[in-house]
Amino acid sequence: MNILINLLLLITSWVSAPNAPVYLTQEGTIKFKSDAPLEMIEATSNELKGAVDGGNNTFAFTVEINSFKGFNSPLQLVHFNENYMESKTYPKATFIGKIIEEVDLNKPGEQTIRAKGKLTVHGIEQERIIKSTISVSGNVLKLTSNFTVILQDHNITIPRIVHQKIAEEIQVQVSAELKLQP
Amino acid sequence: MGQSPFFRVHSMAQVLPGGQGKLLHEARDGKFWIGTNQGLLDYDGLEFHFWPRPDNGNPEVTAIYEDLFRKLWVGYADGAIFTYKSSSLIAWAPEEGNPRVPIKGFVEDFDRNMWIATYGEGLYIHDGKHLYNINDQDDGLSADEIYTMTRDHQGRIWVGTDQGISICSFKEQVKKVETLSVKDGLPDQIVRTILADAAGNMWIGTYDQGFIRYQVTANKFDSSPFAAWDLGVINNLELLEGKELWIGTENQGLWRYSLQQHRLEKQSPLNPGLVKKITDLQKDREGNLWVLDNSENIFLSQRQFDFLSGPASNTQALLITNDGDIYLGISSGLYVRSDVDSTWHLVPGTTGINILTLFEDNFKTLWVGTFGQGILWLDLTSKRTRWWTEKEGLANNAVLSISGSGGQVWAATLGGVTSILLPSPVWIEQPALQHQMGLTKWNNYTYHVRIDPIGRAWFGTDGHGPMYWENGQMNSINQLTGPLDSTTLRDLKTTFSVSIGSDTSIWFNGGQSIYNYKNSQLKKVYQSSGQLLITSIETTINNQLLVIEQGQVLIIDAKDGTYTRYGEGVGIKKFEGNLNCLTKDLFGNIVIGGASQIIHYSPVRENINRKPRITLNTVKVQGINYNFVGPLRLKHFQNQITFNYSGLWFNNPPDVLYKYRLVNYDDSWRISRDKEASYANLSPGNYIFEVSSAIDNQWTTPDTTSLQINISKPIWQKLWFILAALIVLSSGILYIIKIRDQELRRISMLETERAKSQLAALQAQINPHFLFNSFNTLSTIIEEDPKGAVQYVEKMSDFFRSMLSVRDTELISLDEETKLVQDYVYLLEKRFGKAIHLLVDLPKEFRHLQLIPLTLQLLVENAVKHNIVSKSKPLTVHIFIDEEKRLVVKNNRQPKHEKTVSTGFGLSSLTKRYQLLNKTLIIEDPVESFTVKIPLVK
Repeated sequence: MNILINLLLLITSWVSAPNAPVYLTQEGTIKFKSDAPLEMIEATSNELKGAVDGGNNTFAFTVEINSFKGFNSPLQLVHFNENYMESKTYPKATFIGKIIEEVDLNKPGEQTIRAKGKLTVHGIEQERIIKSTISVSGNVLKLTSNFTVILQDHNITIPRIVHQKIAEEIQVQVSAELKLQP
Repeated sequence: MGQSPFFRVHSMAQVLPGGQGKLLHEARDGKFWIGTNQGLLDYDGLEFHFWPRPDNGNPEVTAIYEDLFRKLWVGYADGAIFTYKSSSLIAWAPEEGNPRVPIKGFVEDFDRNMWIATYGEGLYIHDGKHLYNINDQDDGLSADEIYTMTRDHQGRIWVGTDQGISICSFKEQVKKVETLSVKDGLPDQIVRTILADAAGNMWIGTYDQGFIRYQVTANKFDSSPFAAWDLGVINNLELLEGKELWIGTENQGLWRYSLQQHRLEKQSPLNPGLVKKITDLQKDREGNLWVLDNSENIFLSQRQFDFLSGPASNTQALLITNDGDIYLGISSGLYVRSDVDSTWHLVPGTTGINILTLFEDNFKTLWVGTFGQGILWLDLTSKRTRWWTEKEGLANNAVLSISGSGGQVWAATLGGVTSILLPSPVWIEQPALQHQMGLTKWNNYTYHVRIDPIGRAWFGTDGHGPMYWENGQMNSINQLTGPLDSTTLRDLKTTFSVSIGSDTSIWFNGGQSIYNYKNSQLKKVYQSSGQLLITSIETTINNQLLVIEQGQVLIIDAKDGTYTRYGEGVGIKKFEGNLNCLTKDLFGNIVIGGASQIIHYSPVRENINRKPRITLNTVKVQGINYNFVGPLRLKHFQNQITFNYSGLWFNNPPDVLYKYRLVNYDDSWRISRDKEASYANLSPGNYIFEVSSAIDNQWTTPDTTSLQINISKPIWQKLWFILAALIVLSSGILYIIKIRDQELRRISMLETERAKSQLAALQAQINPHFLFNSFNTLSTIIEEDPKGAVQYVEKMSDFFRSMLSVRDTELISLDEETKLVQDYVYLLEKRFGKAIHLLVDLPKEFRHLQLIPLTLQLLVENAVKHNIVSKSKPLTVHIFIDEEKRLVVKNNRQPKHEKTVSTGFGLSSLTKRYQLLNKTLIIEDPVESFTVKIPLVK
């Protein structure tokens, strides 16, 4: 299991109430889409790991950059990892923070929440508020979220020659089912 | 209304390439401070000045505030705080330490506590001594991450956070925190910005739910003006004139919301920037709105002017109807602007009509004055039309102006004036012709007609100047003013426009000049420079007159005749107005039509500056920045002064002219465009530096700033110094005289003493006793040792010769004196044999030192005189140098039984003579020996 989540669990086990619900996933889906005038690029990873702690409404999500699959060509995948994301140096993207709203994760039903935290992509940390929808049913917390990542904010530079092929704003879609920890 | 503001772009790229403008602050002296990700700047419209952070810490500025003492507070992203006063940034470090998170704002409450908002540590309050913290854990602050901070009219501090609003106060060291949350009606718990308006209500911009107003006195939120907000995150709000709310968003650019019409409009079509993230909005005191968009650009817009796009070029006639629609006539038709989508629509049935003027009567009938076709009536409700022409009694078919009041309408044409009574709509009965002027009596062109509040119709005519109709008669204005002078007659011969003021004054446009008529006085208030043609005039609010001159718009203040010129700087580009092509609505807004632009003028009711503001920025003395508070007090050598000043005029900075002088130095004012004046080699004295700024030489005294300067005289030119110097000098001279006098006296005494001693020595030497003894000795030697006798005589003669040669000199060397005494002792030895011993033990280095001649001889003689000299009791005289480098003459003491008769003259005379040389002889007289210590002279 990811160190990050371990750490989070460790912290939350001290801080949160004994019966606070903690939800985990190892196989969330994260998709991104670059919609540029000349080309549309999409890629997906099913290895989004994450935890949400209902005790203090904190969360942590992380994904390995090289787990993204898709793209329009194998070369594009290589470029993605080597040129743009530099996944050897910055292997992960993470989002760690706290839910702004006071939500009760024991309560079933759908809620819209805003999660505020540090989004780290390409080694650059940005404070973001990301809107998400969560719904709890049984011991499963379903989470979906759409947001954008501005490449410039994370120091990801696109050569002029491919400007028309890569969007400046990347649309990201997250969907995950987190399971209540016993 | 669909009009677009014009934004001029000021680029910071020269000083901070790639900088991102984050926040703005207008200082009380009018200068703007700009916080960027790379540091702090100030700006006077022409030049940026960069203020690097002195400690080279994180340069991102996150808060700027000017306190009541005009000290600027600057907060940085790493929690550092600097204050700025007199040209330097100084770190602010309270005892308790600085925050470690970004500073988000400063504000003072009514007790002058400084409130500091942070992003992560809540609020800090500094009461001048201590720092207090308000946070979520201990004090119930909504959250510690604060986005915005504002003071309300009661002095309370409002902060916006992710968890709503906290309203805080701090009285007698007691913190009080109240909260406003979603439960209280806040539409969104994330509050990004809070703005206090003039009435004391708060405008709150949220993250997702737009903005809302909170009525502070009633303690309630207004209902939200929007059912759904889709412009995303609000970063800033600014309220103009209490009727327009400007909204800066996180990624949807700049928007304007009309509070009267409840309409939201995007405000960036004319500019490439301002489309995404807006970081700050701020209105200034000239009526400009400043906008930052996180780039290296600053956008400024003059709020009074907006621009409309027309349906075609060359607008000839304009009218805002009582319903607020705009009708626009060109040479080939009439257009109306849809208030819904801001587009122009051709009015059916008007194609090809050359329209010169428009008027709306009391019955919602539009009067369309044409060139050559008479007047077209257009019913605004039913849209039916009908022509009214020369055939029906109109004076001429070329209609230049129509106006009306009460039940009467006047039409000014190229063939005179027609007036008709209009008790009911034109559709019901053909209007009754009342007067036909110009057909017989007067047939000149009539350009303009306006009705004054007492029912007089005023006309601008070509050839007869201003005329008016009263009591069935047409009169020239000289009926009211008396005969006009030749200048006025010439200026107003052709009167193009008339405008009626709210203060019973009437304005006339003579094409190159403007006159004001009030209380039977006709006064010129403006003369156009050059060949610029004034095409229209219209009165606006606050007793001001709007003037359309070629290429620019002037606002003339009736109070003092001064004017403000707005041109290219505010977006009015080579404006070619058409004659009297403007219209005013009920709110005083004026729409002006021209060849290529349509200008919308909305008068600013808030008090704004209409002239440049002069500020003295820095003073350099000898090339170095001089910090000054109040008058400058300089030393005589600080005589090279450079003054740096700015006349702030953001509307068009290059227009500003400066006038300055140094009173007591310059004979007259100097006029220049330079922002700097230098003076060198100023002589000591009092000066006053005065500087003023203006547009077009409209100098007025209140706009002058001045600085007193005193250059002090050098110390040697000051009276007290001269007096003191005189006293010192004269007492010095007196002292020298006194010393010299003493010296002379001493010398004369010395002379006397020497003479005495010479005499005594001679007396002694030739005293018969000595000679007798010597001769006795000689006779003895002659018998025993004739050779020795010869030697003895030689020594005797040597001794006497030396004595004679030295007696005149004041000092002789120890060496010579020793020889002399040795000769003397030789003579004594011959007499006493082995009964006398002279031990001379003088190191070479002392032999050049000097002493009074015959000192040693006298002492030896004394020794012989007072002591037994015999073989059994030999007398030993020891001459040596002691540790204190004095010459010592010491003999063993064996006094004679019968006392020798002594004058005591020898020793006392010697002591006196040494005293006159400022030296002291030391005589030691214990039982066994007799010692005299003689100080040697170098």
